[in-house]
Amino acid sequence: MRFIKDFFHDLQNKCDKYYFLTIVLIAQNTLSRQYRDSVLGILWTLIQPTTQVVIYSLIMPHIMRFPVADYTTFLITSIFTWGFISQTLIVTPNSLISNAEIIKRCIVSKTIFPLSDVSRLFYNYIISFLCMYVLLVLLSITKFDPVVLLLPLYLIPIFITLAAISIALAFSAPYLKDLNEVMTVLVSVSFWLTPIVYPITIIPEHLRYLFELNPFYIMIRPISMIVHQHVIPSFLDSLYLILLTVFTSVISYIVYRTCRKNFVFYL
Amino acid sequence: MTNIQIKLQHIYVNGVDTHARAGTLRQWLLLNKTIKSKGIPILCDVSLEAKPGDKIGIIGRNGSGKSSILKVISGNYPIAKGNRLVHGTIAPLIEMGAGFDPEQTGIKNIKLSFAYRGKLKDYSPELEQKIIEFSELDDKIYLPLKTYSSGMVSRLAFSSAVFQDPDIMLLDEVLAAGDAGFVKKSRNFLRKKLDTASIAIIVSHATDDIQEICNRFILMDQGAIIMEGSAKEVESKYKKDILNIK
Repeated sequence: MRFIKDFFHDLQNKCDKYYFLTIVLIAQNTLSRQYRDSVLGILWTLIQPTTQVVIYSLIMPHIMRFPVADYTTFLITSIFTWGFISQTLIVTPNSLISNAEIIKRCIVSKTIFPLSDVSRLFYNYIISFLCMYVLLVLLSITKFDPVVLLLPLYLIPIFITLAAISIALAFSAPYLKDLNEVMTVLVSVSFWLTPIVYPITIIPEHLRYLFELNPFYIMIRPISMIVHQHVIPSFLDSLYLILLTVFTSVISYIVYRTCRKNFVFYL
Repeated sequence: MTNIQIKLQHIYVNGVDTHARAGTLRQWLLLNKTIKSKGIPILCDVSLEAKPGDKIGIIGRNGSGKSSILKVISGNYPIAKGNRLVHGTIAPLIEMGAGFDPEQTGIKNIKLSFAYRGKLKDYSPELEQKIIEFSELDDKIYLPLKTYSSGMVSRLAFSSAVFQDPDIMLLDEVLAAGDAGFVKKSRNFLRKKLDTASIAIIVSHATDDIQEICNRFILMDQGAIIMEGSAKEVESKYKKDILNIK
């Protein structure tokens, strides 16, 4: 009971207009620094996953020989979403460590650093995914379906889930210096253990439930169903996503409560 | 805000010696190092009370715990034991210019410095204009910070930090850099700000710098408060017992 009370008390303290404005300002600053003096600028967020899509769409059908209708749209949906997930897992363990000097000197909520990183990655994901979707429709590779208007309903819990994960990673990384390397390995392995470049239908049925419980797939699946299959995700898929959001938020809050006290001495 | 006060009761702060713990598997398995980090005492049994009107000067040598007290009051350092009660808005001028981005222009860095201090609520274009005028950077404010001299960066850092009206001001040897004229102007401005703040705590290496401003003087050494007294008494004990100057 006390835990729940503390959780909502902490959440209420953060729900302030200026807290969110600070997150946006820091995210904007990082974005402008990231693409400063770059010829293509923010277009790189589109080019990197597109290159992957082109390569996989050329190679995978020949190697795996599985029938997927409109494989390009399938790939774009899952690879762009996976890009947001994997970038969050790789970037946010450093969110506090790379801002150590500011954290030691200034009185500012420390959660703004992982949250500004995840917001920046989410912005990149939305912009690049939207551009790609418009391009797919214009090139008649896929058709526009009003069901895509439901996307925000599923993107919000995905964002909250990854924001929660980013806080847990950022606050535990000062104690666990190997976390960066662990995340890099996890991302590489998970790419192949998650139905991203192949459909879940190629997995034998008796093993399929294992893949369906993969948290990354729980996030990717509803987006894929809306954009690729033009269907509203089932009740069970939506429930899985909501449960994942609640579960990661609780775990993240436990990690945050445990680590927040002394982490400044480990930076 | 009414009831402005600072009350630190028997505060202990322990840092962490991360180098003493096993950093690698080899150190853990073969060299018998522990995974848990060793604690380093930073503050030991520190008690301090301040009420409106108090201008406290804390002196001591490097590593005596002066800055750590400020960090405990501002909430940057977690306490291991004791009670901390702080009522009032705080402006910690502890190492100014934190978070400045060399790639961004001076004007963007003003807003960033407000964000990193959690003071975005106080930021306004009018205040920004005042800061630019005070810093005397004129049109250079639109240039990236990396093109500034160290004096110019200090001017901007000082100007961005001092335009606030807190109840409690914490200063860690804040001395504006730049030419003599700017230093004089900054000192006068800071003096006015200190007069208007209800409580001010200033950290220094010697009482000479702070005796005109402060009305209470504290001597610290090895993370503990050694004595409180007049500027003369504190200075005398500091030189005699700590610096061993006869």
